[in-house]
Amino acid sequence: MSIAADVAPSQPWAGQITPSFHTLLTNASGGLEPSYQPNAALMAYGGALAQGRVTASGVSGRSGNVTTFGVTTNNTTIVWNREFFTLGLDGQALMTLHESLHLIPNFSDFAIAGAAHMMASRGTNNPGNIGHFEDQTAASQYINEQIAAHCQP
Amino acid sequence: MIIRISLGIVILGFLFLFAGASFAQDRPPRETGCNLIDKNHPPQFILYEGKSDPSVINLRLRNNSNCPIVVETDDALATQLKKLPNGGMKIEPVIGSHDGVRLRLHYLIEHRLRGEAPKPAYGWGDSVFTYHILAGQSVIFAIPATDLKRHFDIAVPFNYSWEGRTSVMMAAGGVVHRVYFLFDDLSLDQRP
Repeated sequence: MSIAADVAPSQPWAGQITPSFHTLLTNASGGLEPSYQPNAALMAYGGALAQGRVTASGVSGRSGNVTTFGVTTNNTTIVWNREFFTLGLDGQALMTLHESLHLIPNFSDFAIAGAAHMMASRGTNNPGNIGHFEDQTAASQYINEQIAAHCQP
Repeated sequence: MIIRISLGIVILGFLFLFAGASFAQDRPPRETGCNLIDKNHPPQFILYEGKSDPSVINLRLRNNSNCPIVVETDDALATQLKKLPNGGMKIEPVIGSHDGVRLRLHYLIEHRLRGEAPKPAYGWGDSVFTYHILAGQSVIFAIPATDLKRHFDIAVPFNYSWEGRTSVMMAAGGVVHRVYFLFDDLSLDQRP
C-alpha cells in the first residue's frame, strides 16, 4: 500500500492528494499493523451498499477476449458485471480487493500494477521497477495475477 | 330538451376551443427540457480537429445542448495546452469542466459494413472517471489514424447529467446515447 502511495503521485496528471499509509499501517516498533478490525470493514461495506455505491450492472463485462468483472468510477462507486457473480468466493474476493484499491485516490491500474511490479522485481540490492504495461487493461490484469499469486489461501 | 342540451354542449365546446386557441396564440411556446444552442447543429456532434502527427487524429466533441452531458475517461485528469510567456507551450492538468480540454476519452469503434456491435477502441481497464461537458463546451480527444484508415466509425457513449450516477457505458434503463463520427465525415484530404 505504501509503495503504491509512493508510485501514485508520479503517474501522469495525478491531481488528487494520495493518502499516506505509513502512519496508518506502521506500529510503534515499525512493524505493519492493520488499522481496522474486520467488523468495521464489514459495516463500511454495508454502508456503501445502502448508499448505492456498490451495485450490480446486470450486464456482461465481456468484450472480445477481455472480461471486466467490475468497474470503479471516480474512486467512489463499484459496479459488478454479470460475470462477477459466476466466480467462486476466492475469485470474488480477488476482484473485491482489486476494486477496493481503486477507491483510494490516485490508485490507478498503472499505479497499483507499478507498485506490484516493484515488489515482484526487487531484490537484495535492487529496488525493483514499475515495469511497462501496454495499456490500462494490461496493468489491470497484472494486478489480478499478483493478487492471485500472493493472496490466495 | 335533449336537443337543447346537445346544443348547449356544442356551444360550450366551441367556447373551450376558442379559449384554447386564444391561449395558444397569446402565450409564447414554453421551452422545457434540453434545447439546442446552435439550431444549425445536432445536440452533440464531433468534428475533425486536425492531426498531432500523421498517426494521430484529433477530434472535437461539442455539447450543443443546454444540458450538461457526462462522458467516461481513463483514470487520468483532463489536460489543456497553456501558452508560456516565452512563447512555448505546456500541457497541464485541468480540474473541473473547461472548454477545449484534452481527454483520454472512452470511445467505441464500429465497422458499419460488417454489422458488428461497437467495441471499446482500446484497453480501458476497470478504474474509470467521468467528465461533465457543460452546455456549449467541447472536449478534444485523440484517436489513432489507423482506426479511420480501416473505415471504422467512431462512437462516443454519453449520459445526460440529469440521468444521475448511472454508468455511461451501461446506460440508464437500457437507453443508450451515442454521438458518432463517421469515416465519411472526413474530407478526402483529411483521410489517413
